[in-house]
Amino acid sequence: MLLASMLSLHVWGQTKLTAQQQNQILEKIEKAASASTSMQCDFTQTKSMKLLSKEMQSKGMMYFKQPNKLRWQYTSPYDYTFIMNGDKVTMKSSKSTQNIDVQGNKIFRQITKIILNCITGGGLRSAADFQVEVYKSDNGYFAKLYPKKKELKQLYQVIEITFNQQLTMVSGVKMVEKTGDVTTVKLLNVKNNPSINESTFAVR
Amino acid sequence: MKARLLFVNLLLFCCLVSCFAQDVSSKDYNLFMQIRGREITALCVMEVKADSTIVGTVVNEFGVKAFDFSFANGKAKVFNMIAFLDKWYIRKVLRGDFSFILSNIGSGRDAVKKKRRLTVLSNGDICVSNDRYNIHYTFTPMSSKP
Repeated sequence: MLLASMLSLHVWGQTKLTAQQQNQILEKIEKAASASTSMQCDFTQTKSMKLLSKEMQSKGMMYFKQPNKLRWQYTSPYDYTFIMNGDKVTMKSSKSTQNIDVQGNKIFRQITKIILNCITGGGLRSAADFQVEVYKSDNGYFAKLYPKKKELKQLYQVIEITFNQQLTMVSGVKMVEKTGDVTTVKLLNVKNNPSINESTFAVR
Repeated sequence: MKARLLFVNLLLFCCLVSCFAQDVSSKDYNLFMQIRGREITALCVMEVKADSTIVGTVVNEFGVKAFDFSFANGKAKVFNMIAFLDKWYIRKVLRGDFSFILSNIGSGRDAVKKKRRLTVLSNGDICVSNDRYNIHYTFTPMSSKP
């Protein structure tokens, strides 16, 4: 019993950092984020829903180039590609291709900003849309982002960004929706500063 | 005696496992919606319970929920709708459309009811039209590619 309690404390042990410690950690992450000019990785996405007994799992590839070029491509079990290139976004599925100008769409502008923050870990100190809390756990550091604005509050309770041990990049993102459903994204096989062809981010 | 008890236990265990295995079956679809000229792609995941009740969800490819639904006794309910869709008239249309869709989607046959039509294409796609509101749904069974 005692051993079980100790183990559970060990697993669940997480400490909220003081404002000063938080600032230092986020500064370190932002420095690493701004030093990274490009990034490429695989990802897995798992969604667990209160209503359904099984989880939805998908996977794909991600390419990112500073300051705002992103290709987020699902390859299994469905094909779907999201490309952001500055203010332009293209979403391609097997049945349709849609182009959006982010400047003219407030929700989309917020979502693309969140995606970029979640991928690089940068911009968290000045994130006006969220109240940010940083925690230390046995596995390293993670940030909890509580939405401040109405539009985001309607979508998410909290977004958790986990950083790698060296605090140089994001290793995973967990998004908890208002309904309690949880989407977890893990970044795998991360390559920092690879050379990525511009055509990867081509939008129509 | 021990061996017999062990055999009975094993038999019970196997029965229990097979009961639970048959408890729920799930179907995953890529969903393509055309609403008065606007196009939306999403995923529709549903589970058919042992009592034939259906529960499911419609989410976008990033996993953000649009709405949940349930279906029992020929009637669908929609709930947990994303804020910007959560209007009584949208809920009403979706409730009607999903009652029709979920009544017929498993039959493998075409169906018509008033202004709603369901067509099963040779490639496996299931197309549903609500002619009154000019809404079209295409359900494409999701491949189980690894």
